[in-house]
Amino acid sequence: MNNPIFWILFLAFSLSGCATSGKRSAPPPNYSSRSNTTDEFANGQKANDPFIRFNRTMFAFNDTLTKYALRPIARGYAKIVPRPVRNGITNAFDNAQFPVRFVNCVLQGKLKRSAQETGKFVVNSVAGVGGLMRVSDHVPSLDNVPAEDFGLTLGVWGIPAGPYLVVPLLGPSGCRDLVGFAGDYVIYPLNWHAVGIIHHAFISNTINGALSGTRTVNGLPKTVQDYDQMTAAAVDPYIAIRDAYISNRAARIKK
Amino acid sequence: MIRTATEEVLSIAYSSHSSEAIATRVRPTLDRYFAFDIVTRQAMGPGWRGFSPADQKRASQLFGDLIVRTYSNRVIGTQRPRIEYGAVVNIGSDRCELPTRVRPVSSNESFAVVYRLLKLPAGWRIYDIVIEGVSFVANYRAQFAEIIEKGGAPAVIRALESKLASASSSQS
Repeated sequence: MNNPIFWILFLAFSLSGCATSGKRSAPPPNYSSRSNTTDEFANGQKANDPFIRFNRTMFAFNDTLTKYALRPIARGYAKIVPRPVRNGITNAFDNAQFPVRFVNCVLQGKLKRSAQETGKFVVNSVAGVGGLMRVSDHVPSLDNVPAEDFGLTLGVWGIPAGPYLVVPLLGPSGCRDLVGFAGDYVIYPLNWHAVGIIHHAFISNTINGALSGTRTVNGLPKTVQDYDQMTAAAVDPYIAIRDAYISNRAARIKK
Repeated sequence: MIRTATEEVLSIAYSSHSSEAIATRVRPTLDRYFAFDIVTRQAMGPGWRGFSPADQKRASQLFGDLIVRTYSNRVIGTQRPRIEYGAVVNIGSDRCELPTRVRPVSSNESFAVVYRLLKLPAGWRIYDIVIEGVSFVANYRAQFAEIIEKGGAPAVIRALESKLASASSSQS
């Protein structure tokens, strides 16, 4: 069994063990409902964050990195490359990610959605010039197809999110989603050489490095802007982003 | 009603030229449609009952300022987004949700925003906004929970004051 998928699945199941240690019990229903508002927010789970000290340190590290390196790069890049071009590049990389979304739709048994993804890919590749333009947005049935990934697939399969993790450079994640990230990495066509599909190591590494670098830098202005917006209103940015990440992932699993 | 509310708020926001102007002009409209007292109480969580009335007043005032200030800062320099309204989902007789989709002009992404409403004697009021599955109130509750646990009402007020001070200084 040399297949990386098996390895990832194995890892996922063994990691899901570390998820059960989290505090899952809802707080006791002691909130007296004055007026007619029952406290529907009280039964929210307490965040599963046993590594909070490490996470807060990493969060501070990423924050400093954003402040002194990523934000200046993002600003410079945004000055040189106008927004329509940036959007086009983002679209092209998203289009290339089609196999990842498609495979995960299938793995989740969402056949209609996998068909929509295929339709999107064809329309955008052909009419949208290799995915540079997202023509599919103008097709009502192909608009707003929720993007699936392997972390979500594992969630649909019933694997709990596991402890929250802040990853250096990558930002918020969790045990399950990190495993998902590795799974998607394998499926993403622009990474295929890395798992031995394209053989010439030097050439493929160079191409891959250039591509992933382009994708990252191109996405930076948006990433930094999102981060700034989320933290601007926050009293405790770490908790705000943790809650946003966990709630958003949970909502996407239900979709 | 939400449609009128959002359109009203958006037209005020996108016809103003400074965030201070938006903040002062938009506040009466927001007060008309939002149950700010419930939003604040729910955002602070069960710890709110331990606050003295004076602290409660101060905290809700600061919290309201923070929300209005940060969101009006965000609007400046952007173009008015397009909003699509879905069908109202009734949840019991005194509660409903209105799903919407917001499409910013500058970006090719859209996001789901759900307004949650509650029927009060004065009429329907918004008590939470859920953006891409993230509840505004629950997000703040998580933040405040730890602050209240550590330092009670004074810590909350301090945190809000310092946030407002840093927000206004980093604006220029």
